[in-house]
Amino acid sequence: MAEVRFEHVYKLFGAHAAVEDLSLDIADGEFLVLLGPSGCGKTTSLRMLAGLERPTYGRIEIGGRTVNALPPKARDVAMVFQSYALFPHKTVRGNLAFGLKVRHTPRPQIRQLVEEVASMLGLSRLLEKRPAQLSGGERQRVALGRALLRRPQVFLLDEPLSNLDAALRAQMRAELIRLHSSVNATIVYVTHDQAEAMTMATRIAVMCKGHLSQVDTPQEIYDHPSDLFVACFVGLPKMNIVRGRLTNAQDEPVVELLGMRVKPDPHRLRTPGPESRNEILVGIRPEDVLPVPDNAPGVTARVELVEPLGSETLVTSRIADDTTLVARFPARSPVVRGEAIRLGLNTQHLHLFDPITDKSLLRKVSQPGKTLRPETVAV
Amino acid sequence: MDRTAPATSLQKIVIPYPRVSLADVLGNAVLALVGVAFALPLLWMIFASLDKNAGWRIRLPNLTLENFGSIVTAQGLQPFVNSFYLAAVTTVVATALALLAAYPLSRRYVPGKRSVTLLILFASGLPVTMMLVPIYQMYATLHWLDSRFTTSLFLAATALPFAIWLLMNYISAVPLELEEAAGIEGAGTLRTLFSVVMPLILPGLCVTAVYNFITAWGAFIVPLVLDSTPEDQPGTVAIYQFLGAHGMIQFGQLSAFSLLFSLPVVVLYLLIGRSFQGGFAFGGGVRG
Amino acid sequence: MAAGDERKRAEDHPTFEPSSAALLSLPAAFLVFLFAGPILYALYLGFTNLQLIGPHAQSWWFTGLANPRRLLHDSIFFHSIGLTLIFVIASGIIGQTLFGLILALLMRRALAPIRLSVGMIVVAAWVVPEVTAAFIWYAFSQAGGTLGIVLGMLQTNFLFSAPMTTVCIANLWRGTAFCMLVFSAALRNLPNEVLEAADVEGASRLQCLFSVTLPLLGPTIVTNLLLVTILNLSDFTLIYTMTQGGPGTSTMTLPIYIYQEAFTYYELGYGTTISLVLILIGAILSLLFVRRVGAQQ
Repeated sequence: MAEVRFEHVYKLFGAHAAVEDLSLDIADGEFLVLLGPSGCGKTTSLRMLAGLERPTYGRIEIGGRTVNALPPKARDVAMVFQSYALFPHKTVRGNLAFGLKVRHTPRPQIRQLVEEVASMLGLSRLLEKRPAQLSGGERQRVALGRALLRRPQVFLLDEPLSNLDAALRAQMRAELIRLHSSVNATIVYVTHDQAEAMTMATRIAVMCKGHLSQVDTPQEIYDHPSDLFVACFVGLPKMNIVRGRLTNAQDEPVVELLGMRVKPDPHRLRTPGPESRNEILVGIRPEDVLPVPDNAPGVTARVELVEPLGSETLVTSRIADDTTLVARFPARSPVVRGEAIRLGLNTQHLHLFDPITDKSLLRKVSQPGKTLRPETVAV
Repeated sequence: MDRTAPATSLQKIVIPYPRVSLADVLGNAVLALVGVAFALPLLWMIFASLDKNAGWRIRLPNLTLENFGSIVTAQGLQPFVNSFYLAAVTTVVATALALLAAYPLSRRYVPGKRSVTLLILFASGLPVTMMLVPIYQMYATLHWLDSRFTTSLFLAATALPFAIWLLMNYISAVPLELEEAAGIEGAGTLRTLFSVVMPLILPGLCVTAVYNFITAWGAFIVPLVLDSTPEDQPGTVAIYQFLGAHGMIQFGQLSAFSLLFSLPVVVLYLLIGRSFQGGFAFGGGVRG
Repeated sequence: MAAGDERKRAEDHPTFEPSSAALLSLPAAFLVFLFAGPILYALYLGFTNLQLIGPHAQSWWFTGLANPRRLLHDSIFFHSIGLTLIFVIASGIIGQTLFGLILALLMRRALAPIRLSVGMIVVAAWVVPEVTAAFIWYAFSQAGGTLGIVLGMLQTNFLFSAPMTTVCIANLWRGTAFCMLVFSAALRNLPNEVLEAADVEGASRLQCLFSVTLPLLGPTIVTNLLLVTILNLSDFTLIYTMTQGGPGTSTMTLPIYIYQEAFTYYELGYGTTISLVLILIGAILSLLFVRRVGAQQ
């Protein structure tokens, strides 16, 4: 097991930068998820770690060693590919044993190790079959087993669950989490599915267009996104973004949005850049938009779409200035399309962003647990 | 914790890689050696054609163009004309008939279609030149011997199976919906073939035609057997006759002749080479 | 793709369309007359005493098993079969296939200029008409020719002293390109991630080659072997131009023997009998090839 470090890593294809100035430290035993949309550079970064691509600039370290010049076989990493990359002409046993055979491990030892891993992953019955005869989930487990047998310093997984159906995916997620805790391995995992990232990771590294946007624990990423991209990418349904203004009233900063005024915590507030002229973007998660009685502070809105999910209901409504808000209503809410409702906000969890730089205007607080405590003032 | 580099200091760390390995160097060297070995015979021919006193050995030529000059006489050019005639007629007949056959076979319902298709592939693998005796006999009975035209017909017949196979593959790549649309508009089979399908497979058609041409251009034993009039000899037979001639073989002239004779085929291959290379991807079978 | 739909649509109208008949009739007649016809005719002629010139040129008849009997006692025939086998195996199966495979493998990692130029040269040797190739190698193997210079044996006329070897080398030169192109295409189509996985698992280049690459190429190699055999089996032009089957009968492969019997000694009937043997071998090989292709699809 080992720690991994990216130091100012760039990967350029001609003029196009697939990865730009990536600096990331991964601790020993972490389950780090590289999360982002396609083209953000996450798979390229993983492949550079594996040795399948060479960084244009920068240093990559595994276990304290600089590995840039080392070929994959010398880095002691194991990789599970998106397509599983099983050897089609070998049996399951042959696939599992490949890495050991290549290292001239004595045959009885290979046999024993293969059977151990096979039983751990439930593959014992399938040892003599070929990949073509296996289901997707079985193939995935063989690929996983092949990696496990090597006992490498780092496990690399490239979207291993994306080819599985939903039910299997949930099951494999649980198995991977269980495996991580039992084997206590350093895992670098690439995915575009934010649900996978949130449930499995010890930390998530969100990437966008080759840059690292934010690295943090899942809850921190959810509660304190560092920019607009992270805020909108993590969390389903997407965070609501509305326009607002940041002004000074009696020497205290005040956020105006949707006809309401909120006082942010001045200790955490950054001033927006001069170009923005006090205009800001405010993010509100759907669960922080609530139905309120008519006399409470809030906005009037007309319901456009009602999506009952069973456990809750998603209500999309439009307010006077043409902004739409998505809200999480309790299950079995008697809301209908076209109805006029009144929506209030949980102002404890407002996210403020600079409209030009997209960066969050709220600094992270040094003590975890402290949140905004604004006052709402009715207009 | 993560480390975010401050925007001002864009340090670009550069780590050198081992550039070449021994295996790479050896591999390239062996390949280059093979290339030289393969080029030697071709080089000889080129040098000899330019050489005043060409011999068997390869050497730098006493430059001259007389060898080429001696070809451009009436007798010198006749074999080229004959080869062109044979190849052209064969190509036209074979490609046209192949198109007519490939279309229904790959689209329409034909009883036993699958077996017929495999039969066609099977036929293209037969040692065709071994049908020469019966075809000679047939031609003799029909008084079809010693004619360039009838010789081309047989060449076309032997080229037909593989040409059908090639075109069938190209036709199956055309979406069926286009033909169905044409059918709804009232087009008959022939019209659909010529107005809809043919334009879309034009590249494939060209590849097939050029392949047929190249094959017919190199035909040797068929014209040798079926047409013995000296004026009808194609370039292949002419080269052979020169070699078998008693007395001094004019290597210079023969090289010049061979070079010129090879040129059309090489040029044609350069044109379609790229598309035909795709056809080499068997995936386990021929153009699967 | 559309293949499955096609079949379904075809099954929807099981009537044989008259338009198909019209289109197919011309090529079919052509093929039957000039292709199938001669083959069937050959089946008959092989058992007659037809001659090109001579007493049986005009009046000839069916002779039953006389020709096959003659064949069984014909030592040249068996010698010829042996030579054909040597030719096909040495220059085709071993030579062209192995060489083509090695070249394709080397070209994967070669520098672009070397790869492109060597590729072009090797293919040029293949594209050039067969007579031309024969002519070049004829000159090459003369006493004092280039082959002699390279090997340091200036006095030897290789076509006399080692005719079969020379002819095999000439065929190797000519035919390697085909195998090289086939294997190059197959190598390009190999699943890249599987090779990367082998790399990450720690396999050295050699181990990758023998444990992963070659097994993955297996089907292509087998199909190619069949094709190479078929192509080389009936090769006539190269050998005939270079040696006419000589000196003596030292390069008289079956195709040349057939030609000699039929058109030099005018024994058309007997020549056909021999060619029936060749057609039989070719037919079996072609059948095997078609079954492989049919199975892949």
